[in-house]
Amino acid sequence: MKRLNKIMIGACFLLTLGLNQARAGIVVIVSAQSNARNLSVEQISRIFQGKSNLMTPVDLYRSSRIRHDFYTKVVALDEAKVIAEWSRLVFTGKVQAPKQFASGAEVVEAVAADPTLIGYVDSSFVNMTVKVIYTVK
Amino acid sequence: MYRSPAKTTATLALALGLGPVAASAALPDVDVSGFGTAGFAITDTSKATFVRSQEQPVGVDESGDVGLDSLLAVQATVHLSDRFSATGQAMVRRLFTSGFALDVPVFFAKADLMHDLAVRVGRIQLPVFMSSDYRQVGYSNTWVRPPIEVYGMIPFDTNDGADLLYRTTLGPIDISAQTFYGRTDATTQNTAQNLAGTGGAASQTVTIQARRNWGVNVSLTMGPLTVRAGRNQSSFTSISDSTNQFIAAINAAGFPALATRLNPTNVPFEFTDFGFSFDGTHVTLQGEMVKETIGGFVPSADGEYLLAGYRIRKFTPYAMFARQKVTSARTDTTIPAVGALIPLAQGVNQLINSVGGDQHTTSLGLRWDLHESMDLKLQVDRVSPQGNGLFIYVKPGFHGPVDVASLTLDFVF
Repeated sequence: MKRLNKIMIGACFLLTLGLNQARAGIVVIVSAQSNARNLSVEQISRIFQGKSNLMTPVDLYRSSRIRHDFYTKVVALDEAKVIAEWSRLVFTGKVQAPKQFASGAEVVEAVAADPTLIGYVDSSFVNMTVKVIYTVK
Repeated sequence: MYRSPAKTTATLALALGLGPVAASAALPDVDVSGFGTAGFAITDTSKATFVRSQEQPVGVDESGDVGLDSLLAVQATVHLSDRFSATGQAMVRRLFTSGFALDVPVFFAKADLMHDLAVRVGRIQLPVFMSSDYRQVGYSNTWVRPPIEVYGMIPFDTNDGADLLYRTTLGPIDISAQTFYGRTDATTQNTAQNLAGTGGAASQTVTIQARRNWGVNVSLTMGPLTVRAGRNQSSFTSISDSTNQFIAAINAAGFPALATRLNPTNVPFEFTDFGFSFDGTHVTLQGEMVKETIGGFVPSADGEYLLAGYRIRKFTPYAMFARQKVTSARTDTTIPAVGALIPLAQGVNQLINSVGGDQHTTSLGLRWDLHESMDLKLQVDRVSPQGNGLFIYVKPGFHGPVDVASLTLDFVF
């Protein structure tokens, strides 16, 4: 029994640590070749709502926890609202919806290859090919 | 709705019997998305029917109907390269026909000339109103349907031609501008009950031809506020057998100037629209003021609406007021109403009152965001027409106000 408690406490601790890392570690990235300077959180929010075309956003899949946290904290809108906004743009054919990727590694690869793209990933995926322009608090 | 190019391409490749290698090497990315509405609406009168737009030949009355708002659309975009793409949208709805039918409201090739500038050639939604481009996407709008007093003013809603799209960001302001040129052909039913020359027949086919459509619009967005101004014009022609026969009869009766004035052939059509929207955390506001002038017997009109909503988590209760006011003369005394001329004089006045009309509507509604790409809306409208207003199949004894209740489920995918 005592041992079980210990395991549970340990598991809870690890879980909390894991969640904290995921939450604390979201960064917004552009290609290392991009000449984009630091963008304000307001500008990033407008890009991911499709309002501003300063850069082209790329997304993680909808099921992603990183994605959920990014939209909640940076775009400051719930995803239903974001989908409604993008639907307006997509169904006019004026703008394409963001490409979606399954993992942070794929986002890093895409962003590194195209200096017009902007993405968000867990900081653990960041490498030399991309640069961090904003760290989500 | 969101793009997953790899998956779509792979599916397409499998469907075509190709291996994954061939897929990545030979096939362009294809995005497939769509939207739809399942709706039911009912009114409290049997003496007239309520329509969603001027092109809709059948409306809803006290027996209720699913055809007023229900629609399903699928859109596909093929990415030929980084700069070139082709997009088509197919929609099933009740628009030009009395039952559900398929039409293609959007079909174009697009080239991104520069980061900020794109050109499209093909068919687009006529971009005259603030929400023209996405008025059929129920999920992207607070209301159940656009107010007919404003969005029903133009009897055609696509443009075949070309447009230029410009988008840029200047400091805190996002700017979007568009200019277009083209033409439109549409066929609608004119169902004004006493339309001159039809002998009271319920409806007749009207062919609309808009030529030299030209327009420009600019939107500025700053924070939650967007303001938009738009202007467009066309050379407008509306052809129907009975109207042509009636105008010929006026001419033959010795009133050639009146016949020319009533004839809606190549008449100037001008349209100006000012709109705004405010989309805050809780408060949502939207309004437009439009002015339409048109020649021939077709009336000129002003229209306005204002919508206000308050978002509380997944629920947005809202209220809207909309109205249309005809600004051209609704009576004509050129032909003296004496003796044998009485039927002709009455016919002229019936003709100039056969389309458009003064009407205002007060609506209350509730939008519930059920899911991240699905909503449910309930809306009740109190529609107050002057005379027939914008109702069709009007029977003797009809009078307002008319209450309309609607329930819709909107989705995007």
